[in-house]
Amino acid sequence: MTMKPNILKQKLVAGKMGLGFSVNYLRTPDVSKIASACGYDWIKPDMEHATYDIDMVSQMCMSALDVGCSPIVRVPGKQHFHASRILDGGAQGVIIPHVDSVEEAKAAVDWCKFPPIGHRSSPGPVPQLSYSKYNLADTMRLCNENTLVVIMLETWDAIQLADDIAAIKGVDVLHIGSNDLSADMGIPGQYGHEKLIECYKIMTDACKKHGKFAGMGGIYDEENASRYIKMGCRFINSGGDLGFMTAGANKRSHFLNNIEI
Amino acid sequence: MSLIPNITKDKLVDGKIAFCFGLRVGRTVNAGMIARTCNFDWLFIDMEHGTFDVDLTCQIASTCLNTGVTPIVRIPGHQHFHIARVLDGGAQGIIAPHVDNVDQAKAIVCAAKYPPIGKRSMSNNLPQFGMKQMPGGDLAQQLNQNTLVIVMLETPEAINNAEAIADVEGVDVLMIGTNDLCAEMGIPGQFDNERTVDAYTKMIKACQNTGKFAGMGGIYEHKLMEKYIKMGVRFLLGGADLGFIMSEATMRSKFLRNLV
Repeated sequence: MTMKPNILKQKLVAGKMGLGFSVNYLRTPDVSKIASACGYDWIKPDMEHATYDIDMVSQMCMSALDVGCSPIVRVPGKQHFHASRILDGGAQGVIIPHVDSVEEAKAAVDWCKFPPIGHRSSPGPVPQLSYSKYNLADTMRLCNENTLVVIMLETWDAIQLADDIAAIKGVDVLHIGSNDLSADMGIPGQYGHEKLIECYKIMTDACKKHGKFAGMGGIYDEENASRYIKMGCRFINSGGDLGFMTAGANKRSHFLNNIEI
Repeated sequence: MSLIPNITKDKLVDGKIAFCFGLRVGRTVNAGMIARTCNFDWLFIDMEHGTFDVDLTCQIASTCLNTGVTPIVRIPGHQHFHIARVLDGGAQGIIAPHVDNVDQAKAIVCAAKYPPIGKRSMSNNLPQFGMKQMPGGDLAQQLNQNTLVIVMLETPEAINNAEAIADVEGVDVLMIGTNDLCAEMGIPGQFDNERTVDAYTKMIKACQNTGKFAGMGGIYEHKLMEKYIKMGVRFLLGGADLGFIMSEATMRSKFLRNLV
């Protein structure tokens, strides 16, 4: 099969959770194999908060395509080239952080989807289609169907626009960045605060109404994660390499440093 | 800038344990900082089983020096250039794998220590001195004192030679590579087998008789780690980035899948 299926999108369409593995520390193309072996459906190379250049991220994406772990890249800014170049380089979706207006969300779709939905520029053969020769109409259709556009809502004002943003054709996922949103509302890190619960309610309602998927990030405790998943979140940013590594390392050093010798 | 202390050697001399944070998939110079924050003593840069080249290894080692974590490199072969180049680049110790006899141990010391102990070639402006130019004699004397030479015993032959290898001047630590030793003995993965315990007993006794330190690699099951530490192991592999990432990541994915 020359077209690489978007495993994450398939799971979301089937009503299942898609668990994401955030990549901020590792820099080798085997990161998708690591994530897959640990039970994840997608990797999120993070160009917003890590120092990766586009070439390194593209190598992670291209190798992920044959692993069955969808490469979804968080881009560092809202310029068209941030999204289009990494989609040309193998990503099966992009996450646009800090979207604060309907216009910004529409612009994101415009860069990520080919006509007739948007105005993405035709790149020639793409890794998502194994560089196979398709006619242009098929290339555009297949890529549009298999590219996820994920819009992050990270302010109270952005939450108020959730319904309008979810209504945009070509937007697939609305995703709350719980840390930045709670900070914006003056309740940093209070993942069970009623104002944050209200935000998740507004976002998940908007997604249900417009047939879009709801995303959650930054919340890993049982009480709060359960609540938001039950409200409908299925696109789950589940933690990242650096956090996992330091957690495991701290447990080991704590054990060793407490052995009586 | 004077010589940067070798925290791992200091701990061993004080009778404490010193354990490492291993690099397998990480390849950035913040490794030492991460190891420090997570309370590890030394950074294990593994050129035997990792793909790090000398340049990347030395960038990581040199940056690590200023964190208080000791950068120690496992070399991929016994040739002098594997040893000298990483020591010139910032490592505070080297681990030589698969050392079976006294001659091999002597050759490794010869490459790792300056005269009069060995024949390491002189250079200067080294990261271990904050790049400061040092008088040659001071440099050699201080680095000979401060550079750890660790030899790994990974066959029954090596275990039989443990006492003689420990007696080689300039060898600081004997360390059992438990995976390879068990495989060589036909008991792969049997870290609690009486023959494995016997090998540890022999190595630890050899170290105690010669004033050297005993090391352990490949065992991460907490009960067994504790057992061998109580028997006398002080220098040990504490785990590596990939293992920590995968164990925690797997726990998280299982946790989330079970929420609904």
